[in-house]
Amino acid sequence: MKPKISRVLICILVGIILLGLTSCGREAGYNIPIVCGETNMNNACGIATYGVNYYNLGVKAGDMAADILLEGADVSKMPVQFDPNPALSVNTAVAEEIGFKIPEGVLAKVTDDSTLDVTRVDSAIVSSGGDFTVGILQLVQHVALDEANRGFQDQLSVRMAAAGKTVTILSENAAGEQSNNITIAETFVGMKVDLIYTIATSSSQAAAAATEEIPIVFCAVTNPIEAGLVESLETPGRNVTGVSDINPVADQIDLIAELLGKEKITIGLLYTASETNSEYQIRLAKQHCEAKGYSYVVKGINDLNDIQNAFIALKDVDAIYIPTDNVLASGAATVHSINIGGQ
Amino acid sequence: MLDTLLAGVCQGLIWAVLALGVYISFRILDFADLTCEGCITLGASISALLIWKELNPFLSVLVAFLAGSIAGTVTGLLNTKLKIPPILSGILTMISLYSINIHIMSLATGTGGTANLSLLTFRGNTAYAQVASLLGLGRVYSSLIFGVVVVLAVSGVLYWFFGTELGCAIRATGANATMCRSQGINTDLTKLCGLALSNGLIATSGALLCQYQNYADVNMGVGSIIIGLASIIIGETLFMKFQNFYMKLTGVILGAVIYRVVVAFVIYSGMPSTDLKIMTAGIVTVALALPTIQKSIASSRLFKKARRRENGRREGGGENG
Amino acid sequence: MAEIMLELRSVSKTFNPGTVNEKKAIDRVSLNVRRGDFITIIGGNGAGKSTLINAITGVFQIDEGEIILDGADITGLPEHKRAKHFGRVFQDPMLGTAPNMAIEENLALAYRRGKRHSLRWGITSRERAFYREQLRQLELGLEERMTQKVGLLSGGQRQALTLLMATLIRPDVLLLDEHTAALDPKTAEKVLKITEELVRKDNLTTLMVTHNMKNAIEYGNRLIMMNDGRIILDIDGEEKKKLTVEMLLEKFSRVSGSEFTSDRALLS
Repeated sequence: MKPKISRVLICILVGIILLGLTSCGREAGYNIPIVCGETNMNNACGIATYGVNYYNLGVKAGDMAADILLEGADVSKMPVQFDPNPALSVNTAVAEEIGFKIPEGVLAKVTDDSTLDVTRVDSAIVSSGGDFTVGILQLVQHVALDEANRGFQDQLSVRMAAAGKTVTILSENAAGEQSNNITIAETFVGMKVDLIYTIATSSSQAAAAATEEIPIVFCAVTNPIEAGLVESLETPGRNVTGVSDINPVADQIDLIAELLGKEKITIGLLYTASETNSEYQIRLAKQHCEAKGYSYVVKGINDLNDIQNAFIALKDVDAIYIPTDNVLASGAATVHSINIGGQ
Repeated sequence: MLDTLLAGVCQGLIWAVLALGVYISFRILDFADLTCEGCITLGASISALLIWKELNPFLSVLVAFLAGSIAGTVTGLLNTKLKIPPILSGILTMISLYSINIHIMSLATGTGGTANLSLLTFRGNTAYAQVASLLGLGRVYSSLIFGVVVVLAVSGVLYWFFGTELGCAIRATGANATMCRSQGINTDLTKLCGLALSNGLIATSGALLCQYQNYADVNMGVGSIIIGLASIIIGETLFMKFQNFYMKLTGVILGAVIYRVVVAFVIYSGMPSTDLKIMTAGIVTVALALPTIQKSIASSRLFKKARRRENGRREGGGENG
Repeated sequence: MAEIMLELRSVSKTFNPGTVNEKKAIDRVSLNVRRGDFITIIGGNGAGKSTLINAITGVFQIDEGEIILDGADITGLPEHKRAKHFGRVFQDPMLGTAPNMAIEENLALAYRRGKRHSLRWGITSRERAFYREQLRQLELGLEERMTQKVGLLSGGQRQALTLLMATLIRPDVLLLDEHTAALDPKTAEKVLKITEELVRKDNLTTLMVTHNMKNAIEYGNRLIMMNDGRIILDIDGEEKKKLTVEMLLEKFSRVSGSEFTSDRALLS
């Protein structure tokens, strides 16, 4: 009798599984338009966003450095700058999936590459004996940071040439070891450079520790206040100022309004509660929403398992904004599949 | 140029404390302890946290030492009680410390996930700043004096400690654990003591470093074990002739200072710093190979001398014969 | 003061139980060592001689049986807690000393065997004088080289030093595990002489494992032969004095029913 019973059991089991699969099925999706702070994540689950271009950040920093060196601008009063020309990108594939039509006005502004056009003037950069000496401290070899370096040098050369001056540039790389940050910074101080350009947070902090006199322009620092580099974004207060690589939160929130095409909107702000940078961006988002009169709902998660619950809480918003966030970026695919329905 | 040199010496003195810690675990205890990279950050995070909470910065260095000792004890327990191999024990503690350090730094800001803590807003409250205002000298000179005092104190304590019964027991454990057990020494206990001391010193150097560069970052320990080992090797090569324990400690300290000064010089002379790592490897290789090279030069000289003598004799014989 | 210094009651140890390499190294060994006994232990390879010594000192825990030292049961104690009762010399001259520490530092360590290691200073000048006296008795000239690293000494000198370290604090039992096996004959002879003197001077209870049948017969008042983890011969007093190598071999084949097949023991 045993073989017969086991066969019956197997049939019942298979039946249960099939039943489960069919009844699970695809739930109705939320299909909420999402705008992400960071371009790569946006490509996975968002419909449109502004992206930060590191070359442009470098160009802006070069401008600031030139202002300090050529025009004697007061560093402590130079406000922190942001990407002057963020690139608008749209994700029509995702928009179609959630059944959202992107307005023509937005589509018209899309650019492939928002890199500013700056032609380097090689004659303005001399290997030694320039009118000015600038030390560059970059934390590590990395595409974004390399672009910030290149943009800075290009723009500085243009400004120097226009003023009829030359500059000697000492470009140093800490090779990813923070122990080299302070060594390089103090070497620059010992060489009495006229300005130090730092790329990345820890390099900027080391330079700020090494000198309180030599002007420092930083780049690719997401949160300069928290890094202790400036007292406020408008008034740095010391010898340090620069360009932040934070994604243009205000522009991105405005983009949401433009996409939705109406005035009274409710935005869901979704982020990971334990990430300081995300928290900072959400703060900026809230400030901008309040300034523009948009309502918002804030939802902080702890890990990717909370995304389901987050969507349930945000199901009635007009759109969701996700800042540049490490945990959510790693779960971009999950965010997308929950949004369009199913798991 | 002098300023650059002195700044290099200042940093070298901070790294010397770390090198002394690494010397205790690697050389004296013969324990390949990789907790180092997590431990230096631990010392920095704790010191930064306490300075944020407006505690005395010198006291924060002592607390950092205690925290490092605890971390070293954990590594030791993993090895002695759970029988996990030394290298893995160190790695496990080092990895755990990454998360712990983030938690510590988050305690200061109140927001989770803080991976970087700046002391720039507390500039006046670091040990280095207080020494500078006390002595009335510039940043470099006061840091130099403070560094020398700290290093002398640490090496003095170590020299005394390793002359005591417990210190001798620890040294013997590293030399021959089997013999120690048959001589009634609890080798598990001596290992724990040695590792606690070693990592306490490493955390201390982290605390000093954080106050020197005015920030703590969860990744600041990357590459620190290499710096420690390179310092030890350079020092041992230079002071090979001396057997005295105090000279050995001095060698480690000088090795750390020399290493940092060489790095500063590489940058100062305009060599591309992307080549910094291969330069480090080159220096350490030369330091390691120096005795072999010296020996081969000496022996080839002797060989040439003998050959000349032989030829001379043959020629003389030929003439007469 | 008990008459029996060391007692082993049905002690067994199996290595790698349940695997292909399973070996019952010592099998229900019982032994009564009287105070003042100088016992030589011989046997072929794998007879269990070294295992017996390791079981006594606590290098591992035994599977069954008890070990009683001077009336106290030490079966459960870890090695370093038993160490104050035993002086031990290993076969490998490298094992008994710390090579990168000075002679006087090694002696200082031995002097503190069984005591707590505190933060008191490692060696005092009074101790140094004591060590110099002790080293002089070895007649090897080591008293002039007290601050030299032990690593510079020859094998024989290191074994002599280890012997001194083992007896610096009078041990309840002195355990010698083929301690002259790695030395050349002349040095081995010297070390054995030193051994005998030290044992006689303090009337030390001694267990000496040796592969050399001649030495086993010549030294000590009692001889034990082991085979396959068991004690198969225990010869004492007068009977031992009359022993020769041939007699031993004959006794062996009678008791164990096989030929004694250890070249080392036969040819040395």
